[in-house]
Amino acid sequence: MNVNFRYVVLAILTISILLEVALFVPSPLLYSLEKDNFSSPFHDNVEVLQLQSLNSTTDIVPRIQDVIDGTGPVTLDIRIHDLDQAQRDLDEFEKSQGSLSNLIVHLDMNESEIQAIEKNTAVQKQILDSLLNTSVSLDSLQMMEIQYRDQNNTDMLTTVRLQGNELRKRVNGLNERYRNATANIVATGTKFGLDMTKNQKSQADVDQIVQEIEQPKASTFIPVNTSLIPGEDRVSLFLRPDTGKYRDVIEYMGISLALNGNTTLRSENIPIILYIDDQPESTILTDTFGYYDTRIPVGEISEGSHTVYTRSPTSRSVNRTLTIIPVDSVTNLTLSEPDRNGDVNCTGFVMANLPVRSASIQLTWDQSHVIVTKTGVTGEFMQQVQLPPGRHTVIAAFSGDGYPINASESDPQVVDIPVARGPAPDYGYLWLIISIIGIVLLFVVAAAFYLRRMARKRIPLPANPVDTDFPEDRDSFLIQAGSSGPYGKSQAGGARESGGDSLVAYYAWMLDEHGLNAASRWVYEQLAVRIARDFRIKRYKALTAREISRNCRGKPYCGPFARLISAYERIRYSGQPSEHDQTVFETALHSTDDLMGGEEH
Amino acid sequence: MKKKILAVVVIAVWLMIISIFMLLAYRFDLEIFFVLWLIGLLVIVELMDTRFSLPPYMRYIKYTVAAGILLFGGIVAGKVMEIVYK
Repeated sequence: MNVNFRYVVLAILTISILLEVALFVPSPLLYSLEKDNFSSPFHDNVEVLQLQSLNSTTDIVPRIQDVIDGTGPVTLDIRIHDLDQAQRDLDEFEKSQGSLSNLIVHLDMNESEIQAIEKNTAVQKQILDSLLNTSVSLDSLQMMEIQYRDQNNTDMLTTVRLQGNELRKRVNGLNERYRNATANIVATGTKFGLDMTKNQKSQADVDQIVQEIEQPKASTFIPVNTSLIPGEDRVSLFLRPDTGKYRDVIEYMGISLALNGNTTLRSENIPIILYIDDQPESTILTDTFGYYDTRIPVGEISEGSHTVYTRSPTSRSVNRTLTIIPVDSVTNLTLSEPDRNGDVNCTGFVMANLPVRSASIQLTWDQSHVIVTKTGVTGEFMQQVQLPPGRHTVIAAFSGDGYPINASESDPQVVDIPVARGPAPDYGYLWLIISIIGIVLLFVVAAAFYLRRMARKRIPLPANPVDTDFPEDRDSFLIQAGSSGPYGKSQAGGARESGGDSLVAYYAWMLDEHGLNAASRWVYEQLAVRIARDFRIKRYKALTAREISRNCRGKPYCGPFARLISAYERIRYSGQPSEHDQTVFETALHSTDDLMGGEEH
Repeated sequence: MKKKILAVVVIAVWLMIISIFMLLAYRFDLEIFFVLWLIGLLVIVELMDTRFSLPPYMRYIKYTVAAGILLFGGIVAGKVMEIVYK
């Protein structure tokens, strides 16, 4: 390529790159909308954030209104004691509060008013949650109170009453917090022009609920003798609920008391062991008020009635009965397509009222082979089975042993295992491999071509020896050929007669005219050209005579040529070439020229 | 200045320019860096190449370029696989 043309192309490329850079620098594309997830948690796609922040605060005002209005129905339901509806409304409130929170986080972190609403509605939700739980607990206590009063169980009546007092203590102060949160929301909501009636109304309801809890109406509680015999310790127990199904949570609670003189002491931090059917199930520590409370889900326990009691280090509670109701189960089985080895993946699940965990599943194929596997925490199981060729029927069965769950069995699943299982080639994968190999090969060829191009410089191969110095009149030259040395006139004439050995003849002439040094040099140059042509040596001029001689291998004239070079070096560089050197040189010249085929070479 | 020293200076400046722009863009991609380095090296080799002789340093640079082409092939193959697996 022309050098100027190269520079022009390079200049154009450089200018165009600089122009592009100049266009890009004022607003660099740091993040693209296509790539909004980053491996680093400290990266956020600002482009996406900016796009999201285009939603102005007015766009989310309706959502804020929904959240603020959500408190009204919840408080009203708690007040009128519709606790189920209250729970549903509270869940709804929580959901809309969560979505508002997400929206605010994505919208803009600097909107302090919206943050204030989000924070205060969270406080309101927390308080409503507490109120709902307290109402539920008080309801349960009230029911238990009635039950124990009927049974005339003074210990348990005391326990229930103390628990009620404890709950009331916990409610203390909720009212004030709710008032503050509501005041903040009203202030912010008014700024946005929102209707705050429902939220303010919820404040009045909360006031009333808290008041009712803290100062209960005249209790119908019948005074009972709760005194203990001095020196006797008591531990109480009650269950809530006392019936349950698989994975229902049963709450076991009670109080541990001791009488010391005229004072009833709460047993603080003592271990209470819960027994079910005389088997220790759990150990619980009492709190600072002597209460203990634990929740245990129904798991691997048989259906029917179970005796439950607790023990402190010094006393034992009365027996309680826990009734476990059995539930039906469903077992499902799915078989995958067999692979080349006949392996089939058997997957499925066992479901009762909830997924059955860690259950043993029997996989039976052809009613003769049994494989046992277990379900995981999600009630699902998976087992690989290798089946011989032919048709097979597989059934999964859950026995229900040890669980309050009825046994179940899947529908029979049929699978055909082919006899001849040839390899099924994955053509897509094959094509991908071929493509990748093709790409790699392409670049290998490109690299090889590049290296080869490096070696193929545009250097002309040596042309035929140029005898520009040769006299125009060849015959006169041959006649004029010098007489000194072995190649005198007679040899020159002989050469002419024998077919015109020009190299030797010209050597003779040069010898006469310019001396041995110049003649040997000329001969070497002529022979070097011939050898360079034979061996495709491009830079033969850059090589020394010895290097040319070393490169000459495998040709008959290489031996004489080596001798010629040896004599040539002595003639050229020894300073005082001898007659012997000249003789050796001329003999070697003759042999080399002969073996090369003279001018025909 | 000798050709090979000039080549080293030019490639260093080129790499610095690439690095600065990558830093400005807060996005340092090693593959793009490599490809831009290879392009720079190819341009330099083409401009400083001699017509008839091949000095040893030019031979070594050309071997490096050939290795770079192979690596570039590897990057292309990797990208193809990425796209296919998406």
